[in-house]
Amino acid sequence: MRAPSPPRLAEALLARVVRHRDRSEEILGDLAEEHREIVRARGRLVAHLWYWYEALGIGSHYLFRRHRRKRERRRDGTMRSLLRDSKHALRGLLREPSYTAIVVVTLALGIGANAAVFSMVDALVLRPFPIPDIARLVMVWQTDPSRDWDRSNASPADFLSWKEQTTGFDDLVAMEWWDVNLSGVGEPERLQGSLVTPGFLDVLGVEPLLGRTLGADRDQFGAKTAVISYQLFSRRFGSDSSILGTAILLNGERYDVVGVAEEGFDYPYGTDVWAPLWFDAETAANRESQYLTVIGRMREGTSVEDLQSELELVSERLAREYPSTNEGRGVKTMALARAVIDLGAPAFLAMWQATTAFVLLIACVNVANLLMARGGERQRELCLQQALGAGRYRIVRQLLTENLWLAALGALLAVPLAWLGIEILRTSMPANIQRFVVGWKEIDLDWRALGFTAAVALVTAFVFGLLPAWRASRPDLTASLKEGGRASSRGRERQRGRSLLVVTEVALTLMLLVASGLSIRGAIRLTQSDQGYDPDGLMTMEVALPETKYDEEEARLQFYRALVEGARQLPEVVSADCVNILPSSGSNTSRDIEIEGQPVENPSERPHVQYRVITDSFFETMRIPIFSGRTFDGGDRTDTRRVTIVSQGFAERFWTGDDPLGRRFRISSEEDAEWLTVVGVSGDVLHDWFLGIPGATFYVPMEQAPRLGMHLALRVRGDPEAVTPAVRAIVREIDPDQPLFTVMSMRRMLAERTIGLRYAASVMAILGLIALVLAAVGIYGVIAYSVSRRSHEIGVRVALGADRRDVLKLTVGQAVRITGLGIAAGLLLAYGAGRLMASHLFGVVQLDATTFVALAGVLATASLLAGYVPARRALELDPVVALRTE
Amino acid sequence: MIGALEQMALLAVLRLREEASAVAIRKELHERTGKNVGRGALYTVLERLEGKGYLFSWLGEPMPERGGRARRHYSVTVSGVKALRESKKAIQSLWSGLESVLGKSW
Repeated sequence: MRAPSPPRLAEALLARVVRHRDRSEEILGDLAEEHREIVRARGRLVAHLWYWYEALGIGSHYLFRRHRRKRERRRDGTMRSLLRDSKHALRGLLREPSYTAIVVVTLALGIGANAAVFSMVDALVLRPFPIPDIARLVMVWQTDPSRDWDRSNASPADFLSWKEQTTGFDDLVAMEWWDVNLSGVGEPERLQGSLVTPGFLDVLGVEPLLGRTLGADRDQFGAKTAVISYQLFSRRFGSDSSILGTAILLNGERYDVVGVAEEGFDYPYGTDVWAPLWFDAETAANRESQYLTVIGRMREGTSVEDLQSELELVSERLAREYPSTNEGRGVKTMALARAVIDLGAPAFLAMWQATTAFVLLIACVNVANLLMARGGERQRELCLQQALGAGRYRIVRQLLTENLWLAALGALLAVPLAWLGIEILRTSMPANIQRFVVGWKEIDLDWRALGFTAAVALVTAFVFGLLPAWRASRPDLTASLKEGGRASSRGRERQRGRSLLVVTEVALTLMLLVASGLSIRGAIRLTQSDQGYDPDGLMTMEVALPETKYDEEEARLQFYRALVEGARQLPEVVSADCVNILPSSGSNTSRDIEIEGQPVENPSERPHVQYRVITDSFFETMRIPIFSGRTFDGGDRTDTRRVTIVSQGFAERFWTGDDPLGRRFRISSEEDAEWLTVVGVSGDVLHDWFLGIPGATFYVPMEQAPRLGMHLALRVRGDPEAVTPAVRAIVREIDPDQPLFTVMSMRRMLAERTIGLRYAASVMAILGLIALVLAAVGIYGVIAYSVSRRSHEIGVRVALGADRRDVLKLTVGQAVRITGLGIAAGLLLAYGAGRLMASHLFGVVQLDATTFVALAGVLATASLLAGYVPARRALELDPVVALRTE
Repeated sequence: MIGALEQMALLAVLRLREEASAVAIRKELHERTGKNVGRGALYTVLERLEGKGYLFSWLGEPMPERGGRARRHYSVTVSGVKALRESKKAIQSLWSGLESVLGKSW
């Protein structure tokens, strides 16, 4: 009986799949044995089916295994070749330590500066402050396109309507600015406070350090309770917890302290005290006055867009119901994190970010330059590799690996540099910027900044590694294998490319230098230039009378009259006056007016001018000239004709060429405002660079427009600040609960006002210096390289009788050409950048030729020096040796 | 440390002595543990054990019932025995003290 054999096809397939001969023999044998037994026991068909089933099972097992192995092998291969490339690269880099060091340090400087500034921007813009779950907090503004308002506060009634008619909020709260005078304990003090609707602190996630927060469930309607900041708690109350439950006097009223906020919480920034905001029936119906800042916590699962559309519906409904107030009012919802960024800060930060980006760019250009130089030198090595059969892809990969290593080392070194940079930025940040820049405490080199750094490094390596790698991998075989390859046209072409890179570098550097120079000069000019008054010997301080106590205009007038009179009695005081807003004090008051005989149809096109309320001899105290007419005097009182003095700019704007005296205008926003008659024309005053305020200003006497808040200006003999205690004593005598604040000399006020700009400018200056160093290194590199390449040629020339000057011409000439071209291009760039800064930045930047010329000179000197050093080496060449170099 | 299937295969080879071939090992494993080991997996394990030096194998005479193919015989090496002992020690030390939870098992 012939033994039944297994299915042939299955055997053949299995033999193909299991490639290993011995193994397949074994498997097929085993299967054949079992197949035989199954045929005996259960018949041929079953045996065949069984055989197929098993064969397919084993076959697929082997196929899968082979595939897996192949993949592993491939991975191994990549890793292995990467390792090989890396080893090779690192060996090569270690062979030339100075080259490697220059590249790595250059990159590290660029990347480090970038990471530091990025961390800064990240903290200031992307993570403004440490509020838990900040992503769910939104700010809601009212808009009014007809008045060009895109972020206006809300009226109490509108706020309540929003709160009642929307479903997307867990809670919607509001706050009102409430600066108060703290008195009753020691020296009275002016505090920044906020009146907040109950629940406000909870929405912002405040954990009270002591006591509790405010809430409708905790505070009776109308209760006068207060939560104080940790800062105030430690500064004023010696961190004594017995303050809880006691009362403090705010604006002369008793408030019970019920809680102390956690350390670091001072939203809105700088707030020292929070008290509940209650709406009585009349206030709750008020849609007219828009003074509430509204914040909401979004319900889980809603988005800003959902809320926006929900609120738009409410707005439309309100506009229909209350057309007289709500016609044209829209609504704008935005994430709190975005909404609170100080509008001034991004300009600073954008400038830094742009500057550091340029520094990085310069660093990269430098590195590219070095890489290209090296690529040229390695021609022969690469040719050899090609001749031995290395493909182009292999060579590019090898070179890229090298550049990636350089970038990695650069990024690694950049980390401590960035950390150092942040420390410097943070510790040197002036305290009064810290106060206004939310999130400065949060500035730290975090992993995001590191990630950013790494990304920048990688991109740098690729972008700037690819070009030279590509060029180097295309060696011109015949030229390089000839020993004299350096004279080939390819070499010259490469040299040209590198010179062009350095020209770019010089141009960019000049642009940065000029940008930082302009901001420094701007800052200096702000403090030193003519402001239209004499800041020297001027002392200033601020007073804010609480309305609760001084609701009568006569009471206000009496206070300020007594203050001015008392101050004038002091021996060291030459003159003393009050004004509602002093120049450079960081705020401003303005009015829309209507000029008699110049009617304006559209209310939104009414002229807008600065408004000042002064006491009689203000112009004398400030030393502002009066060009015509008179100043105010005791004759201008509540019961006499309303008068005004206008600045020269005002007169020229509205009555060009005519005599302004006797002309009349009135404040258009006030109900049945009286006409003001011009009785004098004064000099223009530079009020505030930062606010970009035009000079048209009008002054009215305090007697005809009494105000709660005034600044006191004193013309003092000797040290202005020495007069402070005497003035404080006068105030105490008039009203012991009344604090004086912002006490400083006018000079100091100017300095403080520009401190941010000076800080920004000094950071820019540091970045400019880094750029300068990098540019010098770049030029040095190019010249040194070309000298070493041309030493043979120089030797020939010297042997043929060329003297020192010819040799210098040959080498320094190149540096001069590069520098000249770079500076020419740089001046154009700098001019563009300056124009941009002048239009965007603070209005302080003025393009002055001096800055351009001086900095171009500095750069030219540095560049030529950098070029001269290697050129000197060419002079010292021994022609005999030079001729031998190959 | 060797895997469970590797251990089982080595133990089966030891039990079968000179009878150890792939088919016999599979049968032995099935009889002792009640588990069917996939053929492909078993060949792979045997190959791996040989690679590690715990098994060695040789070919016998060609046999008609195998379609004229030779049978491969397996035997455990000294280091294979060592590896088994170590595995047992390791497992035992992990088991020890857990009798209260797992019940007496060896």
